[in-house]
Amino acid sequence: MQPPLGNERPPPPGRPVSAFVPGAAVPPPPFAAGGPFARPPQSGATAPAFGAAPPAAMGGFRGPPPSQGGPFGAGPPPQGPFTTSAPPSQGPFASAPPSQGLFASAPPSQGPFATAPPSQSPFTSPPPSQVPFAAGPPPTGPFAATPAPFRPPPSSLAQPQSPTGGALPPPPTYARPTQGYYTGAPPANPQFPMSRPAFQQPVQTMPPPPMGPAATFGNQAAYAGPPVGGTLQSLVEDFQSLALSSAPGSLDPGVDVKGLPRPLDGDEEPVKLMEAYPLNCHPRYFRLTTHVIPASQSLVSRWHLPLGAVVHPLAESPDGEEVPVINFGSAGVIRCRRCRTYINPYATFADSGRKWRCNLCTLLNDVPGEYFCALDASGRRYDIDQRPELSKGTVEFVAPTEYMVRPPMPPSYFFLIDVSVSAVRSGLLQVVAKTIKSCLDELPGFPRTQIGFLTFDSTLHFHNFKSSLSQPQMMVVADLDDVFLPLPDDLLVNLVDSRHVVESFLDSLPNMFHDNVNVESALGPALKAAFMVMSQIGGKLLVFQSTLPSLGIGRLRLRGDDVRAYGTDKEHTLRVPEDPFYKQMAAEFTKNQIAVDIFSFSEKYSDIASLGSLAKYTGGQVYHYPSFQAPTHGDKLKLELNRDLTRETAWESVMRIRCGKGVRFTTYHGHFMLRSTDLLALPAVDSDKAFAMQLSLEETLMTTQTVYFQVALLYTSSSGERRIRVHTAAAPVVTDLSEMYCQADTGAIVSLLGRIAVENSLSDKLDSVRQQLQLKLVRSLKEYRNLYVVQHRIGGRLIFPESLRFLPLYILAICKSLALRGGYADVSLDERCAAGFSMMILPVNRLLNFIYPSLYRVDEVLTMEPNKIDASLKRLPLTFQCLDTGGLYLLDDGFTFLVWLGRMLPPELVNNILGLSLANFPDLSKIQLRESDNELSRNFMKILRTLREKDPSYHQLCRVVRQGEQPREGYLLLSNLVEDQMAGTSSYVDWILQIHRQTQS
Amino acid sequence: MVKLTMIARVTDGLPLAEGLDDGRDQKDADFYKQQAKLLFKNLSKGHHEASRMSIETGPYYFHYIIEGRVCYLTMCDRSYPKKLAFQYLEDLKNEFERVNGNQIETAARPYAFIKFDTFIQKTKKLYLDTRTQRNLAKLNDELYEVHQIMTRNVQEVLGVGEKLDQVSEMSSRLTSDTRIYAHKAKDLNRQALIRKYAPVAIVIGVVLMLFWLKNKIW
Repeated sequence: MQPPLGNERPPPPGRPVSAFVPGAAVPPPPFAAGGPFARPPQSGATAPAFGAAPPAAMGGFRGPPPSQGGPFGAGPPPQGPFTTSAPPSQGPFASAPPSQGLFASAPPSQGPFATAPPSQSPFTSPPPSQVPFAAGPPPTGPFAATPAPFRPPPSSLAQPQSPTGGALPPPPTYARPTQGYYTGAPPANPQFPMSRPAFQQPVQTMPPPPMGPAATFGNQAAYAGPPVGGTLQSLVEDFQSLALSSAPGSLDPGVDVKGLPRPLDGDEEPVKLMEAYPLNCHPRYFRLTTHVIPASQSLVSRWHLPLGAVVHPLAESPDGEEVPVINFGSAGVIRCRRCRTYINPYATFADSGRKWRCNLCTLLNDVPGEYFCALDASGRRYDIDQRPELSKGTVEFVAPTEYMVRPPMPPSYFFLIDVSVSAVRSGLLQVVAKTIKSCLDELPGFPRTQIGFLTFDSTLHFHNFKSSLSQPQMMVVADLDDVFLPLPDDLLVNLVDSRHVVESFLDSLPNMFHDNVNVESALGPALKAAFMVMSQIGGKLLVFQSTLPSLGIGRLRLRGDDVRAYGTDKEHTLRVPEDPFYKQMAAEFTKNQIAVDIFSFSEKYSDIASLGSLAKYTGGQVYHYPSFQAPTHGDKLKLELNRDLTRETAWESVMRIRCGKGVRFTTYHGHFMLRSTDLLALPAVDSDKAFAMQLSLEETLMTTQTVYFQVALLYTSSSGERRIRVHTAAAPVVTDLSEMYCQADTGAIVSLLGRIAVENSLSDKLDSVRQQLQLKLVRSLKEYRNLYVVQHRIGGRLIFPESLRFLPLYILAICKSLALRGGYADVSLDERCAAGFSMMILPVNRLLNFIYPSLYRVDEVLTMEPNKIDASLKRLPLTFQCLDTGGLYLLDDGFTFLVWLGRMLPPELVNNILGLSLANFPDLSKIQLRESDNELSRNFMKILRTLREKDPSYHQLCRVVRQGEQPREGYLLLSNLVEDQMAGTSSYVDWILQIHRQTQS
Repeated sequence: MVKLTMIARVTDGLPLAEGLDDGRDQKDADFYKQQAKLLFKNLSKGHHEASRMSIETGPYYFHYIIEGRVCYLTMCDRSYPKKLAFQYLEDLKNEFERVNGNQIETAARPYAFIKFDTFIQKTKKLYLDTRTQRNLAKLNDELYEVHQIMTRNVQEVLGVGEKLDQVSEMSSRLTSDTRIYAHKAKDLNRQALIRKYAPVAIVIGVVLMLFWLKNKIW
């Protein structure tokens, strides 16, 4: 169509532009290839001109504005052609059109990657291979479509007519965009439609772009065409193929920094799956790394990424949707006789409703009399609408007596508090006592909740909370080798009965140890004592530890400063528990349904690696507050402890994931204890914890069409009900690798890869862990490339599936995450381990935000109306180039807020927000943000609040850093800018280039 | 002293509440809990006569009372005064009926009234020591008579059910066996017939055939 269009309808395009057209024609030299499209004659005419001075010609081209290019004799002619010749000129463009086609089609495709004028990126790098050009034809189609967008605004038209003027200015601007990262295009002439920039490319060769304004198709085509040549073309192809097969995306290595894909919208839940499988549970509960199951072992081996799932059994629904609860009464919970699968929406009924077929193992089961219901003509039960278990992927069953080993125990909380001198000095005791006291009313499980305290330094202090006492009694046990309980009862008491005693204890706790100068900490014996107190009931044990355990069993030694171990084969031993005591203790705890949460506050090394294993095997959590100081960290501790105590928790739970024939879950990653090969024991679990697992095929060839998965979590709710939460999901079996890529879920893959990497770091060097990650990425992209390399000419570009477009960046981010980055000096051992423990439990969206934090520019939105602020906060790429020295930026990784003050930031702004002036060089590390009485500060605090509300599981500690303030800026901010090059790590562009090189080799 | 306390619905044996730290420091607690559950099951089948009963098991006694379709059961040492044990159950019953009386029939899930355990806990403590003034007074109080309460052995009680079960199982097995026997007998009979007459029939058949052939050919 196009060519004819162009030619025949010279008038429209030509009108003003015709002049340009010629200019455009200039480019033709390259077009020569395009020849077919172009009209030979004209192109010929112009071509020579070009040929002669293409680059110089540029000016000439602009030439339409004669003023510019004298040489342009060509220029004038073009005008002539205008009416007449216009067509021809376009002809040449015909080839150009392709480029337009690009535009039309390309933008969308690029959309994902680039925020900016995507088209530019491709151009920037003068496509090495012009050859692809030939592909041109496709453009035609698009072409037709494109015209509209291209048409220049009237003004532009005007310009062209005044040949001299208008055109010129644009060129310069254009030129820049190509090279510049962020500077670019936007500034372009107002007259230029936004799309223009794309053409720029040519700039270097062809400044003339001004023609662009001319807005004829021809012109534009011209621009794009000549210089861009190959790339454009290939792009066209790719994008098209992208559009068609939804598969490959493409990148021009090294050039288009701005266009690289960035997950600025955060995690994307694969919600569209719900449309294909409406009976599945929501993806927030269960996500497969690729939502299809490969049919053969060979397919699995070609899928180099992990095959598995991320399960978040108690995820909170954003809209507060309740999970339906079902009580089967006397029929008992309906399960398959053989594989014990729970009845679910995918089960089918047969024999007029008397039997049901298990969808996992295909066994035909009897339907109990109480549950019987007739079937309609299509084999559906008539009562399907009244039975959520047959229509919903997520349900809860009330568990009958057979599911209870003992009656439901009350939620119990036992606090193990280190009261040695460092805890007293840092003000920890006040904060803890105050927070616990404020939470007493909200502890779940009223009126059965049990509570108890044990404090320790070099001795153990038990506290008697007998309800008839008015003051708690303290009993000191100094025998650490043979710990015993001084009282049989009343160490763990009912909160309602003993409320007043507990409160008076909490009031006096800070003063009780006010003068304590004891520096020892007998954590091991204290854990044993706590175990003796709790072993009957189970519950949650919260350990507040502020020094390295130094006495009794389980004492640890300083080993984090052993620099020599780094980089050797022994490096990883620093990250694993040194003393088997902790793992044994954890096993005992789990057996007795006790979950351990570790709160660590030491300013020095406190061996989180060892302490954390208590949490790791009991379904607990590790909180790390390095160098805790009550004034700065108090709020964070307060809110996180509050969350820990008051969130809805499932007790005494076990979780099992069943899956259909042919597949099997092999490895599990997260905080739990494996009780048998596939039963996860979780003394306590809550909405802040997710689990990941890997899948393997048992058979070499899958015979079924669909594989079903069922996650069942049996737990006791805080109110004492025993329940089974069941999530069911189905995934199709495929024989095609590209389908696997197409359905891949980046979030789940990153989550699983991150956990595997953290686990590997416990048995391997960090360096090799990072290499393994990179290797996986490279292999998978290589495999993908092999899929398409034959059909498409994808010369020098890295291709990857649309679904995995963020994967390279995320993997880079994992490598640079707190847990895995650098070496000895980059992160303290404790912080590294604590981050590792966090990464093992974080749900997908929080993990992604943790490794690729959100960066916002705040100063611009502060002056807006408060209710518009939220919408105008935009995430920025994590690179230093995004930081403007006159800006105020906020970095949020889910654990910390970092406020970065640019050097040129107006002092009043700083003054308003921080309440002090930077001129005095205040110590920003101690600063605390308080809302002060001005609009800026109110808005700023509001932003912080809304961001915190998005994720209540952690409270982000706010830290302020000034540009150029070393070394704080370095480790607080710069190390989080994962796209930048840091010591020994590559920048995003280099990374992509590296990956690209390796995929090609 | 009281070792175990359980409350269950008699109609279906559904447990309603249980003392919380029962079985602490007691190795065989699980065994006795199991026994208690069996007892409930038996009761739900209707194998009970008295609404108050003591059952001896090992070194302990189960005491239970059944009132308003709810069975309150406790396990005590042999030496623990029966009178106090029943007083304890009586206390539980009064409180339980007062608090949950109207929901007992509708309770659908096990341990629906587990919140009652705090009361059990408290009451239990009152009865721990038999020599407190309060308990002594109760012991001396003649108003509450426990002499008539029957004492039986746990094996007996559980055995009754077991034996009945066995009998019914045996009889049902017998019926199915006889059916199989009848079927087989018929089968055998037929086979015997065949065996007896088949040779004769064959011979006759052959002879007849020969005759027929002969007629045909000639």
